[in-house]
Amino acid sequence: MEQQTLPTREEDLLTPDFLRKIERLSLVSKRLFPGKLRGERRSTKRGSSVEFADYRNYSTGDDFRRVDWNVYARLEKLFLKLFVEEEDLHVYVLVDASRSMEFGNPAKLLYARRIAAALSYIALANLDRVGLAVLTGASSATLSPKRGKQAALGVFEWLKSVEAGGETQLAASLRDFSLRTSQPGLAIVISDFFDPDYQKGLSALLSRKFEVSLIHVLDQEEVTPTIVGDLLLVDSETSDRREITITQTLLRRYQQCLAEFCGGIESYCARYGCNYVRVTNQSPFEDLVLGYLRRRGMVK
Amino acid sequence: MIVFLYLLKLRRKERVVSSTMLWRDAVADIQANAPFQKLKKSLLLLLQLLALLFLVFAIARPFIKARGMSENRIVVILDASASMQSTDMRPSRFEVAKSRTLGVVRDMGPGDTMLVITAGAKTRVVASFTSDKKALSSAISQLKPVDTGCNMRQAMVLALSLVAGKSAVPPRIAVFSDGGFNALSDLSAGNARINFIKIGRSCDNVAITGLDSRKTLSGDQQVFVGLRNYSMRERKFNLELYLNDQLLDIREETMAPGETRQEILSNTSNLDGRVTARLDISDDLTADNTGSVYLTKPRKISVLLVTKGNLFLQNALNLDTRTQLTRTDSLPADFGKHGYDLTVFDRIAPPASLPSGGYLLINASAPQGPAETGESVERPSVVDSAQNNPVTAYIDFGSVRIAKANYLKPKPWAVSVIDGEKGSLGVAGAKDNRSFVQIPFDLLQSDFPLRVGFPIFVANCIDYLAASPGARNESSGVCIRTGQPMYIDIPPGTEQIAVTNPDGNKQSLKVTQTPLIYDDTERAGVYKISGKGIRNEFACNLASARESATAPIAAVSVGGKEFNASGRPVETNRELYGPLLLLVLAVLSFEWYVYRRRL
Repeated sequence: MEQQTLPTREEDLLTPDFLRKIERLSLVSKRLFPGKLRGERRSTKRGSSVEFADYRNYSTGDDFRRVDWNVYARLEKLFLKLFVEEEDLHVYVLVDASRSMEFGNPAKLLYARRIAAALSYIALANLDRVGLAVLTGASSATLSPKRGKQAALGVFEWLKSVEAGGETQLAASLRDFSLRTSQPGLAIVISDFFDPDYQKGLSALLSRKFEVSLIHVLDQEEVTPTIVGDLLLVDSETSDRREITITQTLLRRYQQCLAEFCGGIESYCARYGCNYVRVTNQSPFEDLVLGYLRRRGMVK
Repeated sequence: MIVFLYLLKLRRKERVVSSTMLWRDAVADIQANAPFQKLKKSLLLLLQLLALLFLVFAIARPFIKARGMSENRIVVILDASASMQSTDMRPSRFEVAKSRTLGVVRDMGPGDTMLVITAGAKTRVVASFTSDKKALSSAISQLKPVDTGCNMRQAMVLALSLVAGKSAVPPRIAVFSDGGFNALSDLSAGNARINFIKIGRSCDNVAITGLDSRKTLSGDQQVFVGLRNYSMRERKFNLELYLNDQLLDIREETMAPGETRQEILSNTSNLDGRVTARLDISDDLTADNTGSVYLTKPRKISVLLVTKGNLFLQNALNLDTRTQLTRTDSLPADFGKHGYDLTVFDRIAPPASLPSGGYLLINASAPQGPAETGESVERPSVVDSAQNNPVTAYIDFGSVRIAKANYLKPKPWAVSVIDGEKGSLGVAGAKDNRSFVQIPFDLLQSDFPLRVGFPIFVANCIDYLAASPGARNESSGVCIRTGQPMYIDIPPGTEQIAVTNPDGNKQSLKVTQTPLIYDDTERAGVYKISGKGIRNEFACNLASARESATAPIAAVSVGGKEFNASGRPVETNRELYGPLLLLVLAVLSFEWYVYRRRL
């Protein structure tokens, strides 16, 4: 399955077969967001869909066609019948492209780009408006929101051009993104979250009314380290150097730290109503998109 | 060195990882748990230092005082002499010594080797250096004491030579004895550590210290019995005297402590056989309560002198009181029937066939004689004479002058006893119950009868020729002391004899020489010899004042060093380097395990 899902060349993020499979899916948004154009998502606005929303008093200038005559017959007062507007949803896929994402086989960044491509395609296929952002250092490079399946190719090409570099500064880069984005929507952050201040960045998004989903990508080596001996570990981003001697105790302690780290993100998400999905670069990609994300309620 | 190596900065392998954030937290967490974590970190160092400490300790070769032997080559000398049969310790001193030696064997540590020597009259190595406890126990269990004195000097010399220079550890020699041996002060103990384990408590012994027979000038025989009471109390007992196991006399004796007494049995001139003295007493040592001695009844020697006249020779033959001389001018007709012990042919040729007996041929030759007559010579001079031959012993032939003689050529069974320049002037030999001495010159044509040696020569000839081989081998026996070798004369043609010892054990001996030396005389009592043409016996008596004085001594002196007696088990220095090396291995194994666990 994996062979069919993932393209043989790194440049091709997703295969046409896989794209066909995920066409039927759609991203789940728990909250209603106002859109720009008519779409298939329920909006906060009142409009002309078939779904009843509310009544309000008639005021001068209102369209007579919307007056509920049954209510007028009973109450002899004019009430307008309001319907839910259906508009498009703004989906922002934010990919962490710091140097730490370069690690792993396949690299975490490639895995993240494939997830981003898949989610973007799902959104585009559902007439949602998809915006992309690459978080490197303190800033974020963005791709302006696109709509419609025809924009998928452009999105893929843009994702392919993403290269790792810089330090993970989620607090700064997410704040930067939230400030630059005027239309809130669904923000999917794909990162390894190796930044102690990631919560500040997420808070910035939440404060701007984004619905935040996190996809935590880890290298299998980071989950179960296989390194041995007396080592000098060098941080790929900060060049921080740390002397360690691998012992059973240290490995156990590392596992505890990792569990605490992941548990911290998960509890933050639970507290603020964010989706949280943790995957490793060894997780089967098709299972992740078609199965795991579905079960976690990110797609349906 | 180990600490220095630990102080050196470890050259670590550099490895780039995505983030050190988690590692930082993990390491910080572990470091926070000081001081135990610090201790854990240096556990390898501590283990290595501990291993090094044990190793240095092992190289220093520490030891502790411990029972038994350890890492030692030890020699156990077990006194097996007669005094060790004393019963003041039950069942006997020797059995106690054996059980203590077995105790030492049981306490032997791994790698110990032991050699066991018994010291009697002869020194025997009963178990060479071995660590096989079973073999040692088996060898020790089979040991039996002997009725001889103790040659501790020989045993100690052997022990010291066996352990000399064998190892850096001072060798250990354990002597289990009552001290009944001569001083060893002239030996050098070297670096040997000697443990003298005293076996024995007291002395309650009465002994026959001497037993002998002698002839008086009047021809009477006496038996002398020496007695001594070694105990600390007065003893009353009977001295029984037997002749060939027939009771001869009983004498009641009362002896004060330390008293010595001689008993003489006279009027035994007509007795012939073995006289046994026995003490009817219950004391510590029984081996010295019996002794035997042999008496021989004097017998007459019938001598026939066939001569035309030789006064010198006649007088010389008459000098011996045993002889009954018959002189004749010619050979009597009943010569073959009479059976003379000795026949002297002086210048008269003997008959072709001679009956058994002794023959002195003077200037006469016989076909059955010991030599063939060779060339005639005028005024021969004597070059040499056999001083060790019974015929010519104690006689100087150098100045004897002879007018004329015929050189003799000895037959293979005879030997030349007087050598001339070109041949023999005297031959002696025995064959087929006939013994001969032949002189090839006329005594009256020489000055030999005038010499001092002449009567001695005649007496020698009487002793040699009158005691024919058959008669000699059936004569009464002799008595020796236990442990001494017995010289057994074997008649010609006998290839094998059997000796039955006092315990009844029969031992077959192949005759390789005459006299046959028999040295297995470690039991006191009567030994019987039997074989073709021989039936004889001899007696072995302990008769040793040193063995009978069974009071144990307190210390032995070897090479000027005093080694005090100790009743305690043998203590040795148990070296600890073996266990320490094992400890080093264990610590290193644990260190390896800890190191592997860290990985």
